[in-house]
Amino acid sequence: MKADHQDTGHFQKDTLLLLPSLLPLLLIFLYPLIQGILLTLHKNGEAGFTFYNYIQFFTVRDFSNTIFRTLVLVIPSSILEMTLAFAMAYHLRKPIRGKGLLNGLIMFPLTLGPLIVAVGMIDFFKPNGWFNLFLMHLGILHQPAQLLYNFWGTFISLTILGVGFIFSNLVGLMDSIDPSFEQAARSLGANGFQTFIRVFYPLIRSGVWNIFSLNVIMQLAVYSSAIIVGNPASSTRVFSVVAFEQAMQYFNYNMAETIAVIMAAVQFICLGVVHYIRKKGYVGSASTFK
Amino acid sequence: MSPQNPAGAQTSTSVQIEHVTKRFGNTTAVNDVSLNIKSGEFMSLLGPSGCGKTTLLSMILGILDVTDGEISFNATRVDDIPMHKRDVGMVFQNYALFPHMSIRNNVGFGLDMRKVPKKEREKRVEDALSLVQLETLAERYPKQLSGGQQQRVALARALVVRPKVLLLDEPLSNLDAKLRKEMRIQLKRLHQDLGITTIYVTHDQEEALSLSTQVAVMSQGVVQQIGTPQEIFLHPCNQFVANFIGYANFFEGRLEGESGDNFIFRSEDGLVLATKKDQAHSVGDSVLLTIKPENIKLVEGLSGRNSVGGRVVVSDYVGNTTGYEVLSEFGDHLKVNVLGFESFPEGTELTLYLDPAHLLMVAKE
Repeated sequence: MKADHQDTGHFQKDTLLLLPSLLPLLLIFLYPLIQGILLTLHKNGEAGFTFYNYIQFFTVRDFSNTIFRTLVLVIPSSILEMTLAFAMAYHLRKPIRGKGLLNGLIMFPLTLGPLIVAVGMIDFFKPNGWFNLFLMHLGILHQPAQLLYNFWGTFISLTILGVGFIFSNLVGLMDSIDPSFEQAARSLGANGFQTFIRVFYPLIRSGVWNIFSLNVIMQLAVYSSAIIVGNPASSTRVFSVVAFEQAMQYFNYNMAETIAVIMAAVQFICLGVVHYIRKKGYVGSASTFK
Repeated sequence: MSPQNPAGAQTSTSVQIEHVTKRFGNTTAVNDVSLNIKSGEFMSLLGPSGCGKTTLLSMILGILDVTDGEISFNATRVDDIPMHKRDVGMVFQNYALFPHMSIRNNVGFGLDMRKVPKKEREKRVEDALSLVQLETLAERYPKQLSGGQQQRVALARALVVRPKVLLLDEPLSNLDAKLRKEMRIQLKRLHQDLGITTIYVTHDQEEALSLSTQVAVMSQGVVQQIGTPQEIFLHPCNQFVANFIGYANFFEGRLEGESGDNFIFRSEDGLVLATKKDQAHSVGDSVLLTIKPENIKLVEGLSGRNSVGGRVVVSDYVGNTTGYEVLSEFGDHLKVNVLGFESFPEGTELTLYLDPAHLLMVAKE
């Protein structure tokens, strides 16, 4: 019992080893965070605590609409990204020729980042770009498709990056499943679909939801693709666009911080919902217990 | 274990493996293996790691396709049937119990796949769990069970579907020595009770000899010898089999004469030994002579024929027996096991007696 007390309650000297990594975190993250939250409680250029910025956010449509616009962009694209990435990662578990190359190609956009992907998209999807010329040549399109400078431009950009991110995580997750589970299910009479539904998916379900939530959180902060290939004045006027505008055009850091805090709150709510769904199923190791 | 047959396993399936070969690129893992496993038989595939025994088992189960040859159950070809339709029960080396399912659901999984009515499912799961004496742990999860309990759940899960053939892939290798022995006895009893055709993969010769009605010793993808445990143990057909089942001392030489019921053997180093005559050899033959460490006796003072002087190099006390490595006067390193503990410290000069009745002539590898 004494040992338990020592383990749990008493300060241990080796905890000090955490300081070198904790100190920068406190300085560059926690302090600005607290400072930022305090800023949201002041009206721009005025002293005294007020909820003015929050009231403004929820009463002015240009601000409040950002919640809806961001979610409408990010949630469907995340679902599509997860579907595509899951299908590809599941298929590429098998030993197939060119597997390494395919893995690399799917993850490649991650190395470029959103800015270069967006610029590349402009070249590819412009009215006389490869995409439109190719489809018009095949007779599928009669006039160029408008996939740039609107909702779809940002949606496609998010999808390209999100698929790479989710895929790279799923590959590791799926590789961690002991193949003998599926073999055991098959030996007991389960066909491929039953094995997937009853054994494979339940074992990675928790990890899949984790990856999904991480991706949603990351994409809720979408900025460059919303500006470059989206329509930041209307359909892709997301949190970051408005926050940046407030900070850099109107020098209203208080409002910009308020938008950032609300974005963080939305991220936390999304995380909470996903965590709740995740906890509904099996959460635990997908290895054998020998 | 319960003497009745609550799992209701099928008992009348024979397995024919005909000229089966498995290649992975340029590597041949199983090379032209043929086995005929009779209904109700307990066949062990015995061999070292990488000998192809698990590959052969995987082909019977359907995880791997055969490159050449045929696998049949009751003379009906099955190697072209998908794995989930073969009706084979398998106990994996790591048990592969589904961690997200309770023990009850693990055992009932195969019945769910066969759409067995709920009431019958419950009855069969109960019966299978009581067969392995785990009925009280039905609501637990695999991670809450010990290794031995998990092994029994895996067995119940494989048996509950009444498979035609039961396959076991080194199921005892993850257990400690005491539990391994207990589970071995339980497995043997279970096989006697159910009479299900069983194919058992192991690298442990003691396990194979204790459990099986037939043993197939494999090396480098080839079956070296098939026989009853007694045949394998007493009459290994070649150096590999002899070595694998415990004949640790080998002498290469010629039969240079005969004396009564014995041949007179002379090793390349000049060691002369008398060995029992057999039909397969005659004077002048080059032979490989072998003897088990436990059949070499340590005697005091030099006595006549089949006695060799030597010096203890290493002594290894392991409880019931003590193993010695002795450097003989002819330069051979001989392994000797004696029951209990006799104190022969390293460097002790002693005499070894190699009983002609226990010397065996085997084919060179």
